[in-house]
Amino acid sequence: MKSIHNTVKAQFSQHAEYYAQSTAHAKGDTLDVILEFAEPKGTEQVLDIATGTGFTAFAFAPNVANVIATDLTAEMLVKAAELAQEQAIPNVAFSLAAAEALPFASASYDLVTCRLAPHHFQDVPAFLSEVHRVLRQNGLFCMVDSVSPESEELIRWQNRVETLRDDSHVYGYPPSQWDAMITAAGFTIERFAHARNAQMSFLWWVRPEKNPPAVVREIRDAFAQLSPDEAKAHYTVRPVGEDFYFSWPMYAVKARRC
Amino acid sequence: MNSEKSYGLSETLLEILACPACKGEIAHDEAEEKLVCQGECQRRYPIRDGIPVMLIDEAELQS
Repeated sequence: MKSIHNTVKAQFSQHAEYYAQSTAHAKGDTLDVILEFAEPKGTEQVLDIATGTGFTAFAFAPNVANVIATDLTAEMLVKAAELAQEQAIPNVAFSLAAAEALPFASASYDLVTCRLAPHHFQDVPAFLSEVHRVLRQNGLFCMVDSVSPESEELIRWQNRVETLRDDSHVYGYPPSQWDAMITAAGFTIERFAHARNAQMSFLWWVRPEKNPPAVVREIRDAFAQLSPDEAKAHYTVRPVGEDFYFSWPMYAVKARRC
Repeated sequence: MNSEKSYGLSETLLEILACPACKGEIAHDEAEEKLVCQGECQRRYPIRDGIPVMLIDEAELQS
């Protein structure tokens, strides 16, 4: 567990400013979906796991009693705390924490959120077990993350491509495996939604400033190996000159703690 | 929210913090600026930039 935690910290400690300014993380359908699923009433104690620079926590704060926002990376939380002060958000507090070992008393929260992060987690069943522990009876867990298609071949392909680009990527499960793990952890799934992130330029996404040309080429070759049907149906690949645009499939779940 | 230092240490947070290792209760040692497990393991967690560092591998173990 320690090694991937260090890889994640190393990856994200360099990118707090990038995430703070990233419209892909600040806005978009995935935040809307998680807000709609949660239906906050104003009285909730909320935990936002792997908050990054705090976008999900800040979106919930005006609609709930309190938000505690955690992340594995200090630089992210320092930036989040700065943004919270700038925006004068009074009911959000921060703690460094690993998703698999949460530093909270059992049955402390009414709602736990987690957005665009579990594919970086070392141990998703341990994370889900901890979410179950810190939620009160009938509490809600609302998450959204990038997922793989329901195909062994594409699960392997997508995780290989993601790991080549970013070694803090651990694993993107398909929706069916998420459902099985969430149910096994003691939740009842009440709603789910399939979504996608906004289309991204490959030449931007592949981070040519960080990844050497050989790696960029390997990832580009991997995309070229997809059949045209797979590329279009699963990843919305659309050529634009020397570049191409694509998106990842996303899966959102609303689950109630039994 | 009187200062940046106290920002992360809201009363709400302190009330529900627990040791991530043994899940024991946490006490705030204000003199040492540490969060101390009152349970079995008695780990001591640092506070940096006003934010609790509740990571098992960054805690001090009682000698």
